[in-house]
Amino acid sequence: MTTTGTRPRRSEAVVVNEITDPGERASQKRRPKQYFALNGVALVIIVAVALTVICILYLVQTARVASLGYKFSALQDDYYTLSLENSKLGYDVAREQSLDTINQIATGQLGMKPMTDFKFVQVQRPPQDNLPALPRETPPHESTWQRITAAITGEASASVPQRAAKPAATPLATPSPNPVTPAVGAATPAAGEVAP
Amino acid sequence: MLDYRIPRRRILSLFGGFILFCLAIGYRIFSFQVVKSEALSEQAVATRFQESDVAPQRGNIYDARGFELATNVPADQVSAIVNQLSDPHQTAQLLAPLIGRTADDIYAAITQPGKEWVVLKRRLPDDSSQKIKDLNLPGIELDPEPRRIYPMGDFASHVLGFVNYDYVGSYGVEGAYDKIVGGTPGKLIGQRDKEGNVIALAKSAWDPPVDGADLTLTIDNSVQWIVEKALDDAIARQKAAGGTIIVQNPKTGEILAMANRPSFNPNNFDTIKDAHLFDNPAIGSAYEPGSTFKTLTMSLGLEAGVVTPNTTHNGGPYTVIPGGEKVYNALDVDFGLETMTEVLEHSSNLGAMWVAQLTGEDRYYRGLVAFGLGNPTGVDLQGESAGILPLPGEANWTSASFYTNAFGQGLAVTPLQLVNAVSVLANGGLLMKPHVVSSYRDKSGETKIEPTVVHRVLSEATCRTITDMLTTVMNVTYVKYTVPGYDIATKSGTAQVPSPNGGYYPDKTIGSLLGYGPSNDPQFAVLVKIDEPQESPWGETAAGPAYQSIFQQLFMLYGIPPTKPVTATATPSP
Repeated sequence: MTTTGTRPRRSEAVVVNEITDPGERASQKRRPKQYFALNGVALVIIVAVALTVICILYLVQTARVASLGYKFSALQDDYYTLSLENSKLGYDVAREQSLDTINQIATGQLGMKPMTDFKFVQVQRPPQDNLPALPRETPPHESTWQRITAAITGEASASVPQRAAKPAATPLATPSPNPVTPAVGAATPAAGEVAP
Repeated sequence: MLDYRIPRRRILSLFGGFILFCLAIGYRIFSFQVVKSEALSEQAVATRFQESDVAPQRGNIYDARGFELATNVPADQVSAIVNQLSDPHQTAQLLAPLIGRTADDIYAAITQPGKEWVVLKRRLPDDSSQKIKDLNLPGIELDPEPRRIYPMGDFASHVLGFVNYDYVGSYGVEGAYDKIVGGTPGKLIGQRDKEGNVIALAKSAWDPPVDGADLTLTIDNSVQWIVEKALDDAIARQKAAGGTIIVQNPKTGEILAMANRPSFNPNNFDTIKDAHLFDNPAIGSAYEPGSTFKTLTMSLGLEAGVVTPNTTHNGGPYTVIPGGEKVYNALDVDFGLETMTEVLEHSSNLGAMWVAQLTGEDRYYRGLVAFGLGNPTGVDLQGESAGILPLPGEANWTSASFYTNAFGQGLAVTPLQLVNAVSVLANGGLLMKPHVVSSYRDKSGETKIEPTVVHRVLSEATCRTITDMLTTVMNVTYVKYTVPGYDIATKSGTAQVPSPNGGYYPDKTIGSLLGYGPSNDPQFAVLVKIDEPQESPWGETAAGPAYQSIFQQLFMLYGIPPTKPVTATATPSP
């Protein structure tokens, strides 16, 4: 390998470098082309710029994290405040629902009186055949166009459900298997319910 | 141009100084980084990272219908940062009317030597809190803290208990279920700013708290309301010292209502001077039950097969018991020949003694223990008493005790023990464990507390027989307090009150009615106990109106059809 006394520039390097050794020639082929040379100053500048960029990014990130932290704290405060408000509202609801309050409103404001005199009556249920027929529910009318639109779009239209028999109020205690049914007047009013 | 050269000596001096400076700096760096490294790191970490307990949210308490009985609301705590107070005297004057302390008291608190921070008042009412905020006093801070609150005031207070200043449950279910409803505190180790606030998103270690479970009680607030109202009316009518009412579902052991008077408002527990007021008399105060106890005596006689409802006995005017003492019936009445049902109707002491004698000491006391007497029932409330049941061979038992025990003297039971024992008769002979919590719900789901059968005490046949006898007693003796259309098995009791000086008070009684209904399928066992009634000393008169009112409203509330209804024919409307 022939070298010159000074560092060759890129254009010169092609001219002066004569590779005679076949092995070295092969390794030279594998080496990537060097488009520019890094001297010490350039390297320092690049490193400095890179470090600056990294620092700026770090600062930006830190600022962003801090900002999010403040936002997070503010949201936590909001959540806490709303939870407290919710608790207070829950308490107000519970107070309004208390039987003492209901009793005071019923007897004081609405002039109702506690039901003290009541009588249970055994009712003989008449045969089912004698009962008047229940009115039939007619399905809602749909035009042809509505049916076509529904078929194309796949949209279903809700229809009024068949009216189911209203289930009897379930008492908390196991009901008595006493065969006397039904008992008119044996409704289950909430305690404190008052009748005029 | 001047040819000035810096003297070499000066350069060397400067250089020497620089070297010394560098050595000093180097020494400090070495000292900080190597010699004191560990201690300083720990100090820095301790300053930046602080560990604090994070309180869990205490669970709510609901009744059987889902009404809220206990919850948490925020309340402010007012405190003073002593070195920031501009005028302690004026501050004390302004705060005094708002926090319920005297100005002198506040001034003394905020001028204590060596104190930097003083808590002046906790759990301020909302309006006071707002007024203090408006004053904007320097050095006075308001910090929110949770406050346990009971929306219905003194409603079921003995069942609920309360939460003290340390947010620990005391008495009632608050005490008994404190670990479940109170939750587990968490820990937060986080970086903090100079004010001590945690820096969000900074490095931290977080062991979250486990919030307390919500409790659902077996207490039905409608039944509790009926019972409390009936008790208040009875006490007012009788000018009584107090009273207790318990309603139990005999088939499950669930307590549907438990009321005592006097009671307290758990919202203001700190204003109660007498701590005994927090004790629940229904489970903690044992008393001599008197004639209500004859139901147990008679049922043990029936179970032993020594008597039937129609067995007759002539007790005469009195019986002499071991020790030579004569025992009479109430008012010294001689009932002559009477059946066992009539023994209960007349509430004959001599008849009850005779039944106990026939049953025999061993079988009798084994039976009483089987009823759960002499031991706590195991109810899930704090402060339960075992009562007093002297057993043969024990120091406080005499052979005379056997006879007096038969009619409810010489022993003591709690109201809950008595109701739970009579529930055995209503439940086909099975003793249930009473409970007031039906379930609790935490993050892992709902845990139900199932009814627990303790053991069988009586046969079903005995229970049917005694129920028939007690129903007859109600329809014959206490007919004034029956509920039209329904049969109720009932026994009254007029117990004397033992004096600490021995014997009994001549003018004090405890009147009670104990029973269950409807007789054909008992849904409720009820005890109404009125302490020291003034208008009438007798159990049926003192407790009768409340007892009748409670059963009447219970049947209506739960929609239980009558066994003897008026017949009518319905005509459907077209």
